[in-house]
Amino acid sequence: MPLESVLLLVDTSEQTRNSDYPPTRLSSQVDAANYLAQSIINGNPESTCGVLTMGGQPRLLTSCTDNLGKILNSLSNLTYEGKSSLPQSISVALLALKHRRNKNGRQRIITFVASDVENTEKEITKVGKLCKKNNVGIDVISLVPNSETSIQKLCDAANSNENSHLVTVPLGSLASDVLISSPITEGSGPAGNMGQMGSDDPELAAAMAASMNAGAGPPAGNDSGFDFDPNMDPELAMALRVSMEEERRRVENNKDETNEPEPMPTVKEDDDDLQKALSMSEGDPSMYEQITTGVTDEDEAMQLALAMSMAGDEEAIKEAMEEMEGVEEEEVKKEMEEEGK
Amino acid sequence: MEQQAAPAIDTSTLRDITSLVAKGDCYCLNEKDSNTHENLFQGDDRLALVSDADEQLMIHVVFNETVKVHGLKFFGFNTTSFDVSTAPRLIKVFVNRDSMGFSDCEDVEPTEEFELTEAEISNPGGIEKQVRYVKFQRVSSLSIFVEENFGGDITALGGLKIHGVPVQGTNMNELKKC
Repeated sequence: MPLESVLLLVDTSEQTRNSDYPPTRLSSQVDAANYLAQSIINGNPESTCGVLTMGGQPRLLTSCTDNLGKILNSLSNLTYEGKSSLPQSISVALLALKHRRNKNGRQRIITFVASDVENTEKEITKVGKLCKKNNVGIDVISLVPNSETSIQKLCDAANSNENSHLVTVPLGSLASDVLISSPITEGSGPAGNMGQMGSDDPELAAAMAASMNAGAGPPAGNDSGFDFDPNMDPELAMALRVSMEEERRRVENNKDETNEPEPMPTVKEDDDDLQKALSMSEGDPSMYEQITTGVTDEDEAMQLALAMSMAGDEEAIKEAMEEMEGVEEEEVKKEMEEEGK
Repeated sequence: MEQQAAPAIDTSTLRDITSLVAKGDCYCLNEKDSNTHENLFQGDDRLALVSDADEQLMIHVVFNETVKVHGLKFFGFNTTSFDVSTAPRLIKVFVNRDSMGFSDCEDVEPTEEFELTEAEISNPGGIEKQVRYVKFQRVSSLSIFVEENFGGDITALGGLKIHGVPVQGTNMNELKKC
Protein backbone atom coordinates (compact mmCIF):
# COMPACT_ATOMS: atom_id res chain seq x y z
CA MET A 1 0.00 0.00 0.00
CA PRO A 2 1.52 3.27 -1.03
CA LEU A 3 2.18 6.16 1.27
CA GLU A 4 -0.77 8.51 1.12
CA SER A 5 -2.65 11.31 2.82
CA VAL A 6 -6.36 10.71 2.90
CA LEU A 7 -9.27 12.85 3.96
CA LEU A 8 -12.54 11.11 4.82
CA LEU A 9 -15.66 13.16 4.11
CA VAL A 10 -18.63 12.00 6.14
CA ASP A 11 -22.10 13.12 5.13
CA THR A 12 -23.87 14.28 8.30
CA SER A 13 -26.85 16.02 6.73
CA GLU A 14 -30.36 15.49 8.09
CA GLN A 15 -31.11 13.06 5.27
CA THR A 16 -28.67 10.57 6.73
CA ARG A 17 -31.22 9.74 9.44
CA ASN A 18 -32.75 7.52 6.80
CA SER A 19 -32.50 3.91 7.89
CA ASP A 20 -32.62 2.25 4.48
CA TYR A 21 -28.98 1.37 5.04
CA PRO A 22 -28.91 -0.35 8.42
CA PRO A 23 -28.81 0.93 11.10
CA THR A 24 -28.93 4.43 9.62
CA ARG A 25 -27.09 5.98 6.71
CA LEU A 26 -24.86 7.92 9.10
CA SER A 27 -24.00 4.94 11.29
CA SER A 28 -23.26 2.88 8.22
CA GLN A 29 -20.86 5.62 7.05
CA VAL A 30 -19.17 5.81 10.43
CA ASP A 31 -18.67 2.06 10.43
CA ALA A 32 -17.16 2.16 6.96
CA ALA A 33 -15.01 5.20 7.85
CA ASN A 34 -13.63 3.35 10.86
CA TYR A 35 -12.62 0.49 8.65
CA LEU A 36 -11.10 2.78 6.03
CA ALA A 37 -9.10 4.78 8.58
CA GLN A 38 -7.79 1.59 10.07
CA SER A 39 -6.75 0.09 6.77
CA ILE A 40 -5.12 3.33 5.59
CA ILE A 41 -3.07 3.89 8.71
CA ASN A 42 -2.07 0.26 9.05
CA GLY A 43 -1.27 0.18 5.35
CA ASN A 44 1.81 2.35 5.65
CA PRO A 45 3.58 3.70 8.74
CA GLU A 46 3.65 7.21 7.32
CA SER A 47 0.14 7.34 5.87
CA THR A 48 -2.14 9.91 7.45
CA CYS A 49 -5.87 10.31 7.53
CA GLY A 50 -8.23 13.16 8.42
CA VAL A 51 -11.96 13.56 8.96
CA LEU A 52 -14.32 16.21 7.66
CA THR A 53 -18.10 16.43 8.10
CA MET A 54 -20.26 17.73 5.30
CA GLY A 55 -23.52 18.59 7.09
CA GLY A 56 -24.32 22.32 7.26
CA GLN A 57 -20.95 23.99 6.83
CA PRO A 58 -18.05 21.64 6.04
CA ARG A 59 -16.12 21.14 9.25
CA LEU A 60 -12.66 19.65 9.59
CA LEU A 61 -12.81 17.47 12.70
CA THR A 62 -9.32 16.02 12.45
CA SER A 63 -6.58 17.21 10.16
CA CYS A 64 -4.35 14.57 8.62
CA THR A 65 -2.88 12.48 11.42
CA ASP A 66 -1.52 8.99 11.94
CA ASN A 67 -3.16 8.82 15.35
CA LEU A 68 -5.98 6.34 14.87
CA GLY A 69 -7.46 7.13 18.28
CA LYS A 70 -7.98 10.74 17.32
CA ILE A 71 -9.78 9.75 14.15
CA LEU A 72 -12.02 7.20 15.81
CA ASN A 73 -12.81 9.68 18.56
CA SER A 74 -13.88 12.35 16.10
CA LEU A 75 -16.03 9.80 14.27
CA SER A 76 -17.70 8.61 17.45
CA ASN A 77 -19.96 11.55 18.18
CA LEU A 78 -21.30 13.03 14.98
CA THR A 79 -24.58 14.92 14.91
CA TYR A 80 -27.04 15.49 12.09
CA GLU A 81 -26.93 18.98 10.68
CA GLY A 82 -28.51 20.79 7.74
CA LYS A 83 -27.76 19.90 4.17
CA SER A 84 -24.47 18.90 2.62
CA SER A 85 -22.79 20.48 -0.37
CA LEU A 86 -20.41 18.17 -2.20
CA PRO A 87 -18.35 20.76 -4.16
CA GLN A 88 -17.96 23.00 -1.13
CA SER A 89 -16.83 20.13 1.08
CA ILE A 90 -14.34 18.91 -1.48
CA SER A 91 -12.86 22.40 -1.79
CA VAL A 92 -12.35 22.51 1.97
CA ALA A 93 -10.86 19.03 1.85
CA LEU A 94 -8.41 20.14 -0.85
CA LEU A 95 -7.30 23.00 1.33
CA ALA A 96 -6.82 20.68 4.29
CA LEU A 97 -4.83 18.27 2.14
CA LYS A 98 -2.66 21.07 0.81
CA HIS A 99 -1.44 21.90 4.28
CA ARG A 100 -0.69 18.31 5.23
CA ARG A 101 2.48 17.63 7.14
CA ASN A 102 4.04 14.94 5.04
CA LYS A 103 4.33 16.19 1.47
CA ASN A 104 5.46 12.84 0.13
CA GLY A 105 3.03 10.30 -1.17
CA ARG A 106 -0.21 10.72 -3.00
CA GLN A 107 -3.31 12.55 -1.87
CA ARG A 108 -6.78 11.14 -1.79
CA ILE A 109 -10.25 12.25 -0.81
CA ILE A 110 -12.72 9.55 0.13
CA THR A 111 -16.18 11.01 0.27
CA PHE A 112 -19.48 9.49 1.29
CA VAL A 113 -22.58 10.65 -0.48
CA ALA A 114 -25.63 9.79 1.62
CA SER A 115 -28.01 12.58 0.67
CA ASP A 116 -29.34 13.88 -2.63
CA VAL A 117 -26.80 15.82 -4.67
CA GLU A 118 -28.44 19.14 -5.43
CA ASN A 119 -25.55 20.76 -7.29
CA THR A 120 -25.47 21.13 -11.03
CA GLU A 121 -23.24 18.85 -13.04
CA LYS A 122 -21.14 21.83 -14.03
CA GLU A 123 -20.27 22.62 -10.43
CA ILE A 124 -19.41 19.00 -9.77
CA THR A 125 -17.22 18.63 -12.86
CA LYS A 126 -15.44 21.84 -11.97
CA VAL A 127 -14.45 20.63 -8.55
CA GLY A 128 -13.45 17.29 -10.06
CA LYS A 129 -11.08 19.04 -12.43
CA LEU A 130 -9.68 21.04 -9.55
CA CYS A 131 -8.83 17.78 -7.81
CA LYS A 132 -7.15 16.42 -10.91
CA LYS A 133 -5.09 19.57 -11.23
CA ASN A 134 -3.91 19.24 -7.65
CA ASN A 135 -3.04 15.55 -8.12
CA VAL A 136 -5.77 14.48 -5.73
CA GLY A 137 -7.72 11.29 -6.35
CA ILE A 138 -11.40 11.09 -5.39
CA ASP A 139 -13.13 7.95 -4.24
CA VAL A 140 -16.87 8.23 -3.80
CA ILE A 141 -18.96 5.83 -1.76
CA SER A 142 -22.59 6.34 -2.63
CA LEU A 143 -25.35 5.44 -0.19
CA VAL A 144 -28.05 6.94 -2.34
CA PRO A 145 -29.85 4.70 -4.79
CA ASN A 146 -30.10 6.10 -8.34
CA SER A 147 -27.66 8.95 -8.01
CA GLU A 148 -24.77 7.51 -9.98
CA THR A 149 -24.82 9.86 -12.97
CA SER A 150 -23.81 13.08 -11.27
CA ILE A 151 -21.30 11.37 -9.00
CA GLN A 152 -19.82 9.45 -11.88
CA LYS A 153 -19.19 12.82 -13.54
CA LEU A 154 -17.15 13.83 -10.49
CA CYS A 155 -15.03 10.70 -10.64
CA ASP A 156 -14.53 10.97 -14.39
CA ALA A 157 -13.42 14.58 -14.11
CA ALA A 158 -10.96 13.82 -11.32
CA ASN A 159 -9.72 10.52 -12.68
CA SER A 160 -6.12 10.39 -13.73
CA ASN A 161 -4.41 7.06 -14.05
CA GLU A 162 -7.27 5.16 -12.36
CA ASN A 163 -6.98 7.00 -9.06
CA SER A 164 -10.68 7.79 -8.68
CA HIS A 165 -13.43 5.29 -8.10
CA LEU A 166 -17.16 5.19 -7.46
CA VAL A 167 -18.58 2.50 -5.24
CA THR A 168 -22.34 2.25 -4.88
CA VAL A 169 -23.51 0.37 -1.83
CA PRO A 170 -26.54 -1.79 -2.65
CA LEU A 171 -29.66 -0.95 -0.67
CA GLY A 172 -29.80 -2.69 2.67
CA SER A 173 -26.22 -3.88 2.79
CA LEU A 174 -23.46 -2.68 5.06
CA ALA A 175 -21.09 -0.13 3.51
CA SER A 176 -18.01 -1.58 5.20
CA ASP A 177 -18.75 -5.03 3.78
CA VAL A 178 -18.95 -3.63 0.28
CA LEU A 179 -15.71 -1.69 0.72
CA ILE A 180 -13.61 -4.72 1.58
CA SER A 181 -13.70 -6.00 -1.96
CA SER A 182 -13.79 -2.58 -3.64
CA PRO A 183 -10.95 -0.88 -5.52
CA ILE A 184 -10.87 1.77 -2.79
CA THR A 185 -9.18 -0.59 -0.37
CA GLU A 186 -7.72 -2.94 -2.94
CA GLY A 187 -4.26 -4.05 -2.00
CA SER A 188 -4.59 -2.12 1.22
CA GLY A 189 -5.68 -3.15 4.65
CA PRO A 190 -3.60 -5.10 7.10
CA ALA A 191 -3.91 -8.36 5.21
CA GLY A 192 -3.00 -6.90 1.84
CA ASN A 193 0.02 -5.34 3.39
CA MET A 194 1.06 -8.65 4.83
CA GLY A 195 1.01 -10.11 1.38
CA GLN A 196 3.32 -7.34 0.26
CA MET A 197 5.72 -7.91 3.10
CA GLY A 198 5.89 -11.58 2.37
CA SER A 199 6.58 -11.07 -1.29
CA ASP A 200 10.20 -12.03 -0.84
CA ASP A 201 8.97 -15.33 0.55
CA PRO A 202 6.74 -16.83 -2.14
CA GLU A 203 5.49 -19.71 -0.01
CA LEU A 204 4.41 -17.43 2.80
CA ALA A 205 2.76 -15.07 0.34
CA ALA A 206 0.92 -17.93 -1.34
CA ALA A 207 -0.24 -19.32 1.98
CA MET A 208 -1.49 -15.90 3.01
CA ALA A 209 -3.31 -15.40 -0.26
CA ALA A 210 -4.89 -18.83 0.06
CA SER A 211 -5.99 -18.27 3.62
CA MET A 212 -7.36 -14.85 2.69
CA ASN A 213 -9.40 -16.32 -0.15
CA ALA A 214 -10.75 -19.01 2.11
CA GLY A 215 -11.69 -16.62 4.85
CA ALA A 216 -13.08 -13.89 2.61
CA GLY A 217 -15.70 -12.16 4.65
CA PRO A 218 -15.13 -10.07 7.73
CA PRO A 219 -12.55 -7.27 7.74
CA ALA A 220 -9.10 -8.66 7.42
CA GLY A 221 -7.92 -6.84 10.50
CA ASN A 222 -10.42 -8.43 12.82
CA ASP A 223 -11.27 -11.72 11.23
CA SER A 224 -9.16 -13.74 13.59
CA GLY A 225 -11.40 -12.67 16.43
CA PHE A 226 -8.41 -12.56 18.73
CA ASP A 227 -7.13 -9.54 20.52
CA PHE A 228 -3.94 -8.98 18.66
CA ASP A 229 -2.72 -7.10 15.64
CA PRO A 230 -1.97 -9.46 12.75
CA ASN A 231 0.64 -6.98 11.54
CA MET A 232 2.71 -7.51 14.63
CA ASP A 233 3.14 -11.20 14.12
CA PRO A 234 2.08 -12.32 10.66
CA GLU A 235 3.22 -15.88 11.19
CA LEU A 236 1.09 -16.31 14.30
CA ALA A 237 -1.81 -14.75 12.43
CA MET A 238 -1.32 -17.23 9.65
CA ALA A 239 -1.13 -20.18 12.00
CA LEU A 240 -4.36 -19.07 13.66
CA ARG A 241 -6.02 -18.66 10.32
CA VAL A 242 -4.97 -22.07 9.13
CA SER A 243 -6.23 -23.79 12.26
CA MET A 244 -9.50 -21.87 12.13
CA GLU A 245 -9.85 -22.82 8.52
CA GLU A 246 -9.33 -26.48 9.34
CA GLU A 247 -11.92 -26.31 12.09
CA ARG A 248 -14.36 -24.64 9.75
CA ARG A 249 -13.80 -27.31 7.13
CA ARG A 250 -14.34 -30.05 9.69
CA VAL A 251 -17.64 -28.55 10.81
CA GLU A 252 -18.75 -28.16 7.23
CA ASN A 253 -17.88 -31.74 6.43
CA ASN A 254 -20.00 -32.93 9.32
CA LYS A 255 -22.89 -30.86 8.04
CA ASP A 256 -22.46 -32.25 4.57
CA GLU A 257 -22.79 -35.78 5.86
CA THR A 258 -26.14 -35.05 7.42
CA ASN A 259 -27.59 -33.24 4.44
CA GLU A 260 -26.28 -35.02 1.37
CA PRO A 261 -25.63 -38.58 0.37
CA GLU A 262 -22.04 -39.53 1.00
CA PRO A 263 -19.74 -39.02 -1.91
CA MET A 264 -18.98 -42.44 -3.35
CA PRO A 265 -15.63 -43.49 -2.01
CA THR A 266 -13.20 -45.09 -4.41
CA VAL A 267 -13.11 -48.69 -3.35
CA LYS A 268 -10.31 -51.11 -3.78
CA GLU A 269 -11.40 -54.08 -5.81
CA ASP A 270 -10.44 -56.67 -3.24
CA ASP A 271 -12.98 -55.35 -0.75
CA ASP A 272 -15.92 -57.36 -2.03
CA ASP A 273 -18.30 -56.87 0.85
CA LEU A 274 -18.07 -53.15 0.78
CA GLN A 275 -18.51 -53.05 -2.98
CA LYS A 276 -21.59 -55.13 -2.74
CA ALA A 277 -23.01 -52.87 -0.14
CA LEU A 278 -22.22 -49.86 -2.22
CA SER A 279 -23.78 -51.23 -5.36
CA MET A 280 -26.89 -52.07 -3.40
CA SER A 281 -27.18 -48.64 -1.94
CA GLU A 282 -26.45 -47.08 -5.30
CA GLY A 283 -29.32 -48.97 -6.82
CA ASP A 284 -31.74 -47.44 -4.38
CA PRO A 285 -31.21 -43.71 -4.10
CA SER A 286 -34.72 -43.13 -2.82
CA MET A 287 -33.68 -44.77 0.40
CA TYR A 288 -31.57 -41.77 1.29
CA GLU A 289 -34.41 -39.43 0.57
CA GLN A 290 -36.65 -41.39 2.84
CA ILE A 291 -34.11 -41.28 5.54
CA THR A 292 -33.44 -37.61 5.26
CA THR A 293 -37.08 -36.62 5.00
CA GLY A 294 -38.00 -38.77 7.91
CA VAL A 295 -35.45 -37.16 10.11
CA THR A 296 -36.47 -34.03 11.90
CA ASP A 297 -33.85 -33.69 14.54
CA GLU A 298 -30.28 -32.82 13.64
CA ASP A 299 -28.84 -35.04 16.34
CA GLU A 300 -30.71 -38.03 15.02
CA ALA A 301 -29.50 -37.27 11.54
CA MET A 302 -25.98 -37.07 12.83
CA GLN A 303 -26.26 -40.43 14.56
CA LEU A 304 -27.64 -41.95 11.45
CA ALA A 305 -24.90 -40.50 9.29
CA LEU A 306 -22.25 -41.75 11.67
CA ALA A 307 -23.69 -45.22 11.70
CA MET A 308 -23.86 -45.19 7.92
CA SER A 309 -20.31 -44.09 7.48
CA MET A 310 -19.06 -46.62 10.02
CA ALA A 311 -20.72 -49.70 8.67
CA GLY A 312 -21.52 -48.76 5.12
CA ASP A 313 -23.92 -51.63 4.59
CA GLU A 314 -27.64 -51.93 4.85
CA GLU A 315 -27.75 -53.84 8.08
CA ALA A 316 -26.17 -50.95 9.89
CA ILE A 317 -28.54 -48.50 8.32
CA LYS A 318 -31.48 -50.55 9.41
CA GLU A 319 -30.14 -50.77 12.91
CA ALA A 320 -29.58 -47.05 13.05
CA MET A 321 -33.06 -46.47 11.82
CA GLU A 322 -34.57 -48.76 14.33
CA GLU A 323 -32.95 -46.78 17.06
CA MET A 324 -34.75 -43.71 15.91
CA GLU A 325 -38.30 -42.88 16.74
CA GLY A 326 -41.01 -42.51 14.18
CA VAL A 327 -39.17 -44.22 11.37
CA GLU A 328 -41.16 -47.43 11.31
CA GLU A 329 -43.29 -46.21 8.47
CA GLU A 330 -40.30 -45.52 6.30
CA GLU A 331 -38.89 -48.90 7.08
CA VAL A 332 -42.05 -50.56 5.94
CA LYS A 333 -42.04 -48.56 2.77
CA LYS A 334 -38.44 -49.49 2.12
CA GLU A 335 -39.10 -53.17 2.63
CA MET A 336 -42.01 -52.97 0.26
CA GLU A 337 -39.82 -51.39 -2.35
CA GLU A 338 -37.18 -54.04 -1.99
CA GLU A 339 -39.82 -56.71 -2.39
CA GLY A 340 -41.00 -54.94 -5.51
CA LYS A 341 -37.55 -55.31 -6.96
CA MET B 1 28.97 61.98 -2.25
CA GLU B 2 30.48 59.31 -4.31
CA GLN B 3 28.00 56.77 -5.59
CA GLN B 4 29.13 53.31 -4.76
CA ALA B 5 28.95 50.93 -7.66
CA ALA B 6 27.03 47.73 -7.07
CA PRO B 7 29.52 44.97 -6.34
CA ALA B 8 30.10 43.00 -9.48
CA ILE B 9 28.88 39.43 -9.38
CA ASP B 10 31.72 37.02 -9.39
CA THR B 11 30.41 34.93 -12.25
CA SER B 12 33.36 32.57 -12.06
CA THR B 13 31.89 30.88 -8.99
CA LEU B 14 28.50 30.40 -10.60
CA ARG B 15 27.72 26.86 -11.50
CA ASP B 16 24.93 24.45 -12.17
CA ILE B 17 23.35 23.86 -8.78
CA THR B 18 20.82 21.32 -10.00
CA SER B 19 22.76 18.70 -8.03
CA LEU B 20 21.80 20.51 -4.82
CA VAL B 21 18.12 19.88 -5.43
CA ALA B 22 16.54 17.65 -2.77
CA LYS B 23 14.61 15.50 -5.21
CA GLY B 24 12.53 13.75 -2.58
CA ASP B 25 11.02 16.99 -1.32
CA CYS B 26 10.15 18.41 -4.72
CA TYR B 27 6.67 18.10 -6.08
CA CYS B 28 4.76 19.20 -9.11
CA LEU B 29 1.06 19.88 -9.32
CA ASN B 30 -0.94 18.95 -12.41
CA GLU B 31 1.78 16.69 -13.72
CA LYS B 32 0.96 13.63 -15.76
CA ASP B 33 1.71 10.36 -14.01
CA SER B 34 3.76 9.03 -16.88
CA ASN B 35 5.75 12.26 -17.32
CA THR B 36 6.66 13.57 -13.91
CA HIS B 37 8.90 16.40 -12.75
CA GLU B 38 11.75 13.93 -12.26
CA ASN B 39 12.19 14.06 -16.03
CA LEU B 40 13.22 17.71 -15.74
CA PHE B 41 16.56 16.89 -14.20
CA GLN B 42 17.44 13.97 -16.47
CA GLY B 43 19.31 16.22 -18.91
CA ASP B 44 17.49 14.82 -21.93
CA ASP B 45 14.93 17.02 -23.64
CA ARG B 46 13.14 14.00 -25.04
CA LEU B 47 12.01 13.23 -21.52
CA ALA B 48 9.54 15.88 -20.51
CA LEU B 49 7.35 17.07 -17.71
CA VAL B 50 3.83 17.11 -19.13
CA SER B 51 0.75 18.73 -17.65
CA ASP B 52 -2.43 16.74 -17.13
CA ALA B 53 -5.75 18.52 -16.61
CA ASP B 54 -4.91 21.81 -18.31
CA GLU B 55 -1.88 23.79 -19.42
CA GLN B 56 -0.76 25.04 -16.02
CA LEU B 57 2.08 23.56 -13.99
CA MET B 58 3.37 24.22 -10.51
CA ILE B 59 6.89 22.93 -10.02
CA HIS B 60 8.21 23.14 -6.49
CA VAL B 61 11.98 22.76 -6.22
CA VAL B 62 13.61 22.33 -2.81
CA PHE B 63 17.36 22.66 -2.20
CA ASN B 64 19.50 20.70 0.23
CA GLU B 65 21.09 23.91 1.44
CA THR B 66 20.50 27.60 1.05
CA VAL B 67 21.61 28.85 -2.36
CA LYS B 68 21.90 32.06 -4.35
CA VAL B 69 20.15 31.67 -7.67
CA HIS B 70 21.47 33.56 -10.65
CA GLY B 71 19.57 32.14 -13.54
CA LEU B 72 17.11 29.52 -14.71
CA LYS B 73 17.53 27.62 -17.93
CA PHE B 74 14.47 26.14 -19.62
CA PHE B 75 14.55 23.50 -22.34
CA GLY B 76 11.73 22.90 -24.78
CA PHE B 77 10.39 19.40 -25.19
CA ASN B 78 11.91 17.44 -28.07
CA THR B 79 13.38 20.38 -29.94
CA THR B 80 14.22 18.27 -32.99
CA SER B 81 10.53 17.88 -33.85
CA PHE B 82 9.24 20.74 -31.83
CA ASP B 83 5.58 21.49 -31.17
CA VAL B 84 5.60 25.07 -30.07
CA SER B 85 1.98 25.15 -28.93
CA THR B 86 2.83 23.03 -25.89
CA ALA B 87 5.85 25.11 -24.88
CA PRO B 88 5.59 27.25 -21.75
CA ARG B 89 5.17 30.95 -22.33
CA LEU B 90 4.40 32.78 -19.12
CA ILE B 91 6.43 31.69 -16.11
CA LYS B 92 6.25 33.05 -12.59
CA VAL B 93 8.79 32.24 -9.91
CA PHE B 94 8.15 32.40 -6.16
CA VAL B 95 10.93 32.13 -3.61
CA ASN B 96 10.76 30.28 -0.27
CA ARG B 97 7.05 29.57 -0.22
CA ASP B 98 5.92 26.31 1.22
CA SER B 99 2.97 24.36 -0.10
CA MET B 100 2.26 26.66 -3.00
CA GLY B 101 -0.86 25.76 -4.91
CA PHE B 102 -2.51 27.19 -7.98
CA SER B 103 -4.90 29.29 -5.92
CA ASP B 104 -2.01 30.95 -4.06
CA CYS B 105 -0.48 32.27 -7.26
CA GLU B 106 -3.22 34.86 -7.61
CA ASP B 107 -2.79 36.13 -4.08
CA VAL B 108 0.98 36.37 -3.92
CA GLU B 109 3.20 38.71 -5.90
CA PRO B 110 5.71 36.65 -7.90
CA THR B 111 9.38 37.24 -7.18
CA GLU B 112 10.21 37.00 -10.85
CA GLU B 113 8.22 36.78 -14.04
CA PHE B 114 9.40 35.61 -17.46
CA GLU B 115 7.76 35.64 -20.83
CA LEU B 116 9.42 33.33 -23.31
CA THR B 117 9.22 33.75 -27.06
CA GLU B 118 8.81 30.95 -29.56
CA ALA B 119 12.35 31.45 -30.83
CA GLU B 120 13.80 31.26 -27.33
CA ILE B 121 12.10 28.08 -26.22
CA SER B 122 12.66 26.24 -29.50
CA ASN B 123 16.43 26.66 -29.12
CA PRO B 124 17.86 23.14 -28.63
CA GLY B 125 20.45 24.51 -26.19
CA GLY B 126 17.75 25.88 -23.90
CA ILE B 127 17.07 29.44 -22.91
CA GLU B 128 18.74 30.89 -19.87
CA LYS B 129 16.80 33.57 -18.05
CA GLN B 130 18.62 35.61 -15.46
CA VAL B 131 16.79 36.52 -12.29
CA ARG B 132 17.14 39.64 -10.19
CA TYR B 133 20.07 38.37 -8.19
CA VAL B 134 19.31 40.49 -5.13
CA LYS B 135 15.97 38.82 -4.66
CA PHE B 136 17.44 35.33 -4.85
CA GLN B 137 20.13 35.55 -2.16
CA ARG B 138 18.78 33.05 0.32
CA VAL B 139 16.79 30.52 -1.56
CA SER B 140 15.78 27.26 0.03
CA SER B 141 12.93 26.53 -2.33
CA LEU B 142 11.66 27.77 -5.68
CA SER B 143 8.09 27.50 -6.88
CA ILE B 144 7.98 27.76 -10.65
CA PHE B 145 4.49 28.39 -11.93
CA VAL B 146 3.89 27.90 -15.64
CA GLU B 147 0.79 29.96 -16.18
CA GLU B 148 0.33 29.89 -19.94
CA ASN B 149 1.67 28.16 -23.00
CA PHE B 150 1.45 28.91 -26.69
CA GLY B 151 -2.13 27.72 -27.03
CA GLY B 152 -1.89 23.94 -26.62
CA ASP B 153 -4.14 21.88 -24.33
CA ILE B 154 -1.19 20.71 -22.29
CA THR B 155 2.28 22.01 -21.55
CA ALA B 156 5.49 20.08 -22.01
CA LEU B 157 8.81 21.15 -20.55
CA GLY B 158 11.92 19.28 -21.61
CA GLY B 159 14.32 20.26 -18.87
CA LEU B 160 15.32 22.72 -16.20
CA LYS B 161 18.71 23.82 -14.98
CA ILE B 162 19.39 26.17 -12.12
CA HIS B 163 22.54 28.29 -12.02
CA GLY B 164 23.83 29.85 -8.87
CA VAL B 165 26.09 29.31 -5.94
CA PRO B 166 25.53 27.73 -2.56
CA VAL B 167 25.58 30.06 0.42
CA GLN B 168 28.54 28.94 2.47
CA GLY B 169 26.94 27.04 5.26
CA THR B 170 26.43 23.57 6.46
CA ASN B 171 24.88 21.00 4.25
CA MET B 172 22.94 18.98 6.78
CA ASN B 173 22.94 15.98 4.48
CA GLU B 174 26.72 15.74 4.61
CA LEU B 175 26.71 15.73 8.38
CA LYS B 176 27.71 12.26 9.48
CA LYS B 177 26.38 10.58 12.56
CA CYS B 178 28.97 9.97 15.25
